[in-house]
Parts: sequence; C-alpha cells; structure tokens
Amino acid sequence: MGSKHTDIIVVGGGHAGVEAAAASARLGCNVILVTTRRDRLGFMSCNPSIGGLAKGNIVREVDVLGGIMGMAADQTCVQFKRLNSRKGPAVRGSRAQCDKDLYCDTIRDVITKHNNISIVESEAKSLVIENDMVCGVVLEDGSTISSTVVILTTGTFMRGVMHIGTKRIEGGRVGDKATVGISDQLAAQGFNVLRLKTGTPPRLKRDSIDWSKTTPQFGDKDFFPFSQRSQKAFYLPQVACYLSYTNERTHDIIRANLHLSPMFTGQIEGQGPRYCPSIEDKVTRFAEKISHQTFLEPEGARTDSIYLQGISTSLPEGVQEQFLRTIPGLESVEILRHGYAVEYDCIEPTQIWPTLEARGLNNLYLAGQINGTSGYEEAAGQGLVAGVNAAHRAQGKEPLILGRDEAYIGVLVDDLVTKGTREPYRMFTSRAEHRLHLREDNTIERLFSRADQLGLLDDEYKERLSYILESREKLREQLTAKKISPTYETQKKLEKIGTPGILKQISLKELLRRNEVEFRMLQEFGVDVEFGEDVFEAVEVDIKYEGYIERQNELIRIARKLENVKIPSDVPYQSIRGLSREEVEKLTKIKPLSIGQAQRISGVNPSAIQAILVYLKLHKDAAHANRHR
Amino acid sequence: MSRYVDLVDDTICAIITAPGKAGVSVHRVSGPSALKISQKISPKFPKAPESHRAYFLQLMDRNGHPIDEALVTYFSQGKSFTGDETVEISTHGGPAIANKLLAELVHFGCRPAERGEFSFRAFYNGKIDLVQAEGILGLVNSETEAARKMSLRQLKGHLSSTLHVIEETIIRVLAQLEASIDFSTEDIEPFSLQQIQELIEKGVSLVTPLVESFQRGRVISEGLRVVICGPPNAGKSSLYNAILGTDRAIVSATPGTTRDFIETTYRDFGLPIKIVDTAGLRETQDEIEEQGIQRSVRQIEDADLALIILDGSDYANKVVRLPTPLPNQTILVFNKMDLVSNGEQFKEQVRDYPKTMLDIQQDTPIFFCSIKKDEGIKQITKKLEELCLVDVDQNESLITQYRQADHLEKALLGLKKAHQLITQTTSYDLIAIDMQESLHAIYAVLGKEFDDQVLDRVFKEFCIGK
Repeated sequence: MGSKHTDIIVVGGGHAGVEAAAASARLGCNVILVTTRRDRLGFMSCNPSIGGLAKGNIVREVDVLGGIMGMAADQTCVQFKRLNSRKGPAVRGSRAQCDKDLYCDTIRDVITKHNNISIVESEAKSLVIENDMVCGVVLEDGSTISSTVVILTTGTFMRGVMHIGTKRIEGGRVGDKATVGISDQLAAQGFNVLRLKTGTPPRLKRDSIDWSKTTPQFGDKDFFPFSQRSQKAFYLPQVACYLSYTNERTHDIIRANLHLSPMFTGQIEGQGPRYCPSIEDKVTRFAEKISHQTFLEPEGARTDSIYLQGISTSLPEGVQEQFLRTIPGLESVEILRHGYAVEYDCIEPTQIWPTLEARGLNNLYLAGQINGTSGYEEAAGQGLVAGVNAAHRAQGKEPLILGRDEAYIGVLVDDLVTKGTREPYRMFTSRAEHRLHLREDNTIERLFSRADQLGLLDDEYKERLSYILESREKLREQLTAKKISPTYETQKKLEKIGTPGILKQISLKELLRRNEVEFRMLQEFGVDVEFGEDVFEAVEVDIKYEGYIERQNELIRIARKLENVKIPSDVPYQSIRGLSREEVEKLTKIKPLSIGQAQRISGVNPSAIQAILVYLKLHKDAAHANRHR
Repeated sequence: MSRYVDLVDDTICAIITAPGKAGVSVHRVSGPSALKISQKISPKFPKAPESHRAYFLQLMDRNGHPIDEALVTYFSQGKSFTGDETVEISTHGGPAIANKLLAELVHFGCRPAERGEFSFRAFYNGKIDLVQAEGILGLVNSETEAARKMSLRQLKGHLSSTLHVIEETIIRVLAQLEASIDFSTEDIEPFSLQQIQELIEKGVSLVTPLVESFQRGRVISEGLRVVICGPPNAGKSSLYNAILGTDRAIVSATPGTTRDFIETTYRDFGLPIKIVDTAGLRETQDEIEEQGIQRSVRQIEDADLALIILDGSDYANKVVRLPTPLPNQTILVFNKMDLVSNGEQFKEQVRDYPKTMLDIQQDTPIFFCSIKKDEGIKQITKKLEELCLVDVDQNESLITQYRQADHLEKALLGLKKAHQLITQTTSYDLIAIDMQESLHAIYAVLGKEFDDQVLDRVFKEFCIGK
C-alpha cells in the first residue's frame, strides 16, 4: 500500500467527526474521514432525538456556523417539541425525534457529496508522531496516511468495553469494534486517560408491544426548524411516543438481581453520568419512588425497533426480559437488542487548549466523547470547533475560540478545558451564567458575523440569515414608531386582548412590555403579520425582558474585560510572587489563555489574579522598553 | 465569579484611616466617577474643583439629611495616589459617621474597595514601581490571608451556621428552579412556584435580621451608643453628669438649656460605652432649639440603647415626644422621686406606663431615682453595664463589617426581587437570575467559590435519567 497525503484526517464518523470534516472541507481543506463503517456516518447510537434543553441551542449554533446537524434533524424529524415554552425566554429548547436511518442517510449524503471529503473505510490503528507533532495515522492494513492535522473523534471506541450482566464484550457499540492502539499511544505520550461509563436501554420489537396499555404522547403542531435552510412545514408525517410506567414488581425483580449488575459488582470502574442513571441505579438511590416513567419511542419507519427511554440497564439478558414484562404493554415483549453499559477511555480535557488542540502534541485536535462529553449535540459543537481550528492550523490562520457569552459551544469548551469533568459532561442551561443571552431565538444575532468572517456560510445561506436580521430590525423600528392613543376604539381593542386600557399615547413596544400582551395580539394594531415566529420571537423577548437583558449585558461587559486580558502560554507561574503552590500547579497545568479563564479555575484566588496582572503588566512594559531600545 | 470583577475602571471607595480611635477619618474615592459621586454627597462641591485643594463642605445623605461637615480634597486624574481621579473626604472621626458615609458612597455608585486595591491601581497606572508593588502585593496577600483567617474564625460561630442555613435555603430554591428548567421532561416533581415562594420567604426571614444586626454588630467593634432622651427639664444632663461623675453637661433649671447633643466615652471594659446627652424633646418655636431637637432625634435613631428619663413629680401632665424608631433596647427612668409623696404607690401606678403611654416594650426596665439626692443612680449604671454585656454575649448572629453588611443587603435584595417576580411571571430563568445574585452575595460573605453546587443538589434530590 502506498502512502497518501491530505490536509486533514478525521478519525471517526460520529456527530463530532462529520461536523469536523464538513467544517474543514468548507474552509477549503482536503479531508480524509476514516471510519470503520461508512454506513454509520452520523449514527444515533442511543436515543432517537436531536436537541432538547440547552442542546437545542447548540444545534442552532452549529447551524448558523454552517454545520449540518440542524438540517438533517429537521428533514428527518418525526416528532417535534419546543420544551419549556412557558418557563422563560432563555430556557426554551427545541427537540426533534428523528428517524434514525433517514438521519444517517441524510448525513452520509452531505458528507459523501462534498468534493473535499473522501471516506476511507478502515480502522485507525495509531497516530504517526514526529517531534511531538502528529502528522498522520496508520490504518489497520498497515498503510499510512500523512496529513498536516489529525482530528480524533473516536467516541466510546477507545478501549471500549460493553457490559451485560457479568459478560464483557470488547467494543464501543454493539456490532462495532473497539479501538485500542490510540488510547495507549496517548497515555504513553503523557496524557491522563480517564475511564467513563455510559449505558443504553433495550430496543424492543414493535409488534410485540400491546400499545393499548400505553398512553400516546404527541408532539407540537408548530414546527420551529433548527435550520433556516429548512422548510417551515414538517418533512415527514409526525408520530406519537408512548408512555408507560414501571411498578413495584419491576423494582422487586431488579432488586433481587442487583448482584448480577456489573455496576454493583465492581466490574465497571468508569464513572457514569448522574443525569442518566440506569434503572438499577434509580431503584436503589430513589427507593421510595414506586414507579418510574418510560417512553416507548419508534426509532424509524424502516425499522421495528422501539427505544425504551428511561430504562438504561446492564443487567443480564434474562433479567432484562423478566423485569420488562412487568411493565404495562410489555407483558409479552420481544427484545431486539438488550440494554448494556459501555466503558471507554477519554482524555482528561484540561490537557486540551480551548481550540481543542491537544497540549504537548501539536496538530492533534480532539472532539466529542474523547473529551469526556456525552450527547450528539455536544459532540457536534466540538466537531465544528475542531474542524475550523484544524483548517486554520493547516492554513496558518487565527484560531477560533467562542466565548461563554457567545454560545453554549463556548461554555462547553471552556468548562471542559478549564474545569475538566469527572462524569460524561452534558450541557445544561444552568451551566451558562449568561443564559438569558444564549437563547435559541437570537442565535443568528450571536453568531452570524462570526460565521460570515470565518467563511463558513455559502452565499445563499448568508443572504437568508441577513434577511432575517434585517426583518427583525424593521420590526423593532415599527414597534417603536407605531403609537396608539387612548381612543374609544383602541380601548375596546385592548379590552379584547385582555389588557387594561391606556391613559396616554404609548408605542406598541411599550404595550408589548406588558406581561399579558403577546406579539400576536399586536396584529390588532396593524403590525405586519408577515413576520413569522423566527423573526418576531427574538424581538419580542428583547422588548419584554429588556431590564433583565440589560443587567445580563452589563455582566457580560464586565466578564469580557477579563477575557480580553490575554495570558501568554509561557508564563512561568512558579516565579510569580504571591502565588500559592496549589495555584502554581493548577495554572501551569491548565495554562489559561486569559485572566477570565484563569479566575474560573477552582482554587485560584483573587489575590493570585492580581499577582498575574502585575506580572503581565511588568512583562509588557519590559517588552515595550526592549523594543524601543 | 471573581471579586475583582471590574479590574481597574470602576470607582472604588474605602476608609483609609485606621479604624476606631482616630479623631479624623478619611475616605478615599477613586476611579472615573470619583468627582461625580462626591458631588452627589456634597452638593456644594464645585463642578470643576482645583486639584489638591481642600474644600470645607457639608455632606448630605440620599434623603438630603446632613451627615457631617468635612474637608473634601480633589485630586485630578494622573495626579493622585492611584493615578485615577480621586476625592478624599476627611470627617470628624467617629465610626458611626464613617460607616454612614461609606454606605452613602456605595449607594451613589462606589464599590467597596478590596484590600490593597488602591495600591494595585497605583501600580497599574505606573504611580509606584515594581519594588513598591511587590512589597505591597506581598503585604496584601499576607493581610488577605490574615483577614481570611480572621473571618474564618468569626464565621465559626453562630453567624456561620446562620449563613449556612441561608446558603442551603437559596441552593434549595435554585435546585428546584433548575430542575424545573433543565429537567422539565423528566418524571420529577419539583416545587410549585408557590412552594418556592414560601422557601424564599424563609430566606428573607433569615437574612433580614442579619442585615439589621449590622447595627448591633457594629456595637462589638465600635462600642455601644447610649442616648439619654426625654422631655425638657426631666434631668437628662444631670443624669449624664451623674453617670459620668463629671460636670460635663451644663445643668440649669431652664427648660431647653441643652441645645445640641454631646457625647463622651463612659467606660471601656472591652466594650466602650458612649453616652450621649440630647436636647429635650418638645414642641418649640425657637428655631435654634428645634434644630438641636432634630439633631437629637437622629442621635436617638442611631443609638443602641435609649435611656428615657421622665420627671416623676410631673410626668402625668406632659405629652412625651419620642422619636421613632427607637433603639431596640430601652430603659425608663423616673427622676425627682424626692418630690413624689408615696413612692410605692407611684411605682404601682406606672407599671404599665411604657406600654400604654410611651408605646415601648412592656418589659422595659423601670428605675426610680433622685439625682439631686444621689439616690438610685448606682442601680441604673449597673443595669446599663449588664445590658451592654448581655448584648455582646448573646448567642446570636451579628454582622460587624461593612462589606458583610453590603453583601447581605444584596442577598436580601435578590431574594425580595425573586419573591416579587413570582407573583408576576412564570419565567423561571428570570427568577433564577435574582436567586443567583443572592447566592453569589452569600458566597462573597462566606468566601466560597461558586461552582456546581446547584447541579449537585439537583442530582441529589431528583431522580433524573433518560
């Protein structure tokens, strides 16, 4: 086998891998995507949904940054929900249940059709490393591909081990092999490797379920697509999910068999996520709860497979069958695939730069579960950042670091590289201190100019997004300019929409500030109805919550100042006076790029920040003096 | 969130003289709004003052009440210690006035300075060199450490447990809110907004006494202020002199002799006691006397204990004008008992007097004396000392530092805003913003870092999982 060269190699074709490949390719790099299975590009290994709280925001961010996840989710959506629609503007989140097969098809289509991406179906055995620099990968057939940059998105495949009962099977996912070499190689290079655990519930055969004993749950009537490239109507017929519950009998069986669960026998060492406990965990930790809900979610039109949301388990096959059959509707259920737990290696993410480049091993970028995260959306967001930065590295351009005040993706990356993680990291809205600003509705405002500057958008999409921004501007002007006066007619209309009359002339903007007034009601007063929700929601939220948003903006302004004070990566912390040993250790390890990042490291005190500021000031003055000598 | 949030371009203030005994205390206000803020607190300060010139000015609080007369010196940008625009305000000493001024400065937009922050800015602006800077920085660090240890020691007591209950309450509210937000699709039952509101009420009821205790907490570090008040000619100045054992106050039979308050430190047994004599409280046409009465009223409001003295031989016919609010602690004294014919019967008659006539606490101790005959004074001084001692020993949470009080006020404000918001909206995210501000403020007092406490609580309390 000969050796070929490319700009960028992406190892792995999951949600991180495909976004990384697509982003690098869009920026003009030649990309080789190495995956063990071409048919599983963008495969949804676990639940059949894209989005959710905070995650939906990430999908929209990925989309405005030119990513592919949003589009694919829109096109394959079989049930759509806007969550938390009445719990506050900042915490609304869109979730699409997708047809898994179609989703895969859609992603594969985008990737394979891209001129700059070629797919190599093989396993990456090891990295080629020269002088602390990665310059290619070795494939399972022994051949080598050399490249300027490598992006690793190996998911749960690094030393992946699946557990069902006392059985251990090597592999990162049922039907797929594990990758062993790279993990050992990274450990040998001095990287701290963590062991994490996750799990997946059983998949059930559709026609073995007695649906009459379950309660159907429908999605929203209105579609609020992730991508502005998508049409406003559903692409596919919408389906229901079905709700059922466990009961005391279920729990008794689980309790009686706990000794067979690898979670409880000590067979699994990896740390599992607290937000996604197995049913054995739930039954043990919340023993007083006599029933747990479970959603039966169809995985797609082409398959019989039903995903049993809420019942992740690694109990032996026989036990799974036994307890499942106590759940109403599942009395004679047939299991297509049993639930299992999977343990895998990840790199302790504090060893990664905020660009997602591995520290100490240049030209290697990491994204997705290998960085300790969980979730399709978290993976996609990182994939996009890694893809852009890999391309910029290959092209010698400035790196991209999204701020915590710009995007959930910024929060995600900053949390990982600054604080690390002990469990698979999932995004929550509460992780974002500026969440009132990181809304779904203003994603374009937040990220359009970034995307445009980076060159991530094609002309058509650029135009579309600019158009929306302009429409919002127009609407804002209209609402400020249009006034209503306390005439008889006006008061009647106000009464009709259920709000008190006015005493003097006010603008529609002022009227909209009232709690009980919604944008749609303003049509009574001649606001253009052509503005769809994708236009007016952002405007409405900005007006209604102006006071809180201004407070948030002030906090962002203050935080920005700290972010803007940059710290060179070669600062010798051990020689700065006034730092404690613990502080020196942490700062040296994490190498914060800004004062903002430094003060987020736990255990770094304000006095240390002062000391660093003094050092930086002296350093700058000295450098300045030298230049002018 | 860092306490050094704003780096170097907001306006900071602090008392830069040593606390306590000094005759003069100096406040430094430094930063871009130093002049603007100083003009708010001393309205007659010139629009464009000369640098390095001291102006003699009246200081006014936010309600337009005079605080004190002061020398106010302006230092233009580049020509001050810090290098930033600076105003230094010298007042007549006395911690009460100093703290009052500090509170007003913060009200008008200053941030209380961190330790060493003036020096830090001086260095940052090139006003002091590296050696000085490193020296100061080292000092600041060691001072910070000492201060940290000191507050830790302080936080070990009763105050600490109160603060932790408050922290716990706020985290609980936030956990409920966040669970409702981030896990709304899960099979969990977080509190309803109404239940959350009740929890917030609990928080308010915990923080409020702490904020109020600042007044009392001040007592420990600065001593107790005892004010003698009552109608004219009841013998206030005589009692004042009797307690002090001097002729400090002028005594005369003419009502309204004491036109202004005077104060003296009475005794310092660990806890200094300041005794303040005031002008007699009565309706008057005399403008000067009325001014004196107004000043006395403010003294009474600021005091920790009020000694109310009445003329035992003549109390029944007089309307007693007492200012509100009175200090929590009161003592009632009937003077001129030598002129009362049946002492025992008299005592019986006035038993309910505090409640029925003065509208002060029923259990207010009542004393009977004749200053003229030097009878009954000892009992009063004994009681006074006793009360002062009890005040310190009481097993309750006291706030003693201005910074703590400032943070706690912010915490209380956050709680109150959240409480009010719940009645108007179901926006959990907005309610959470106010609660987070509250939690940050509590953490600033506790010196704790804000991390994953809320999420940790959510996972502990709720069964969450897909």
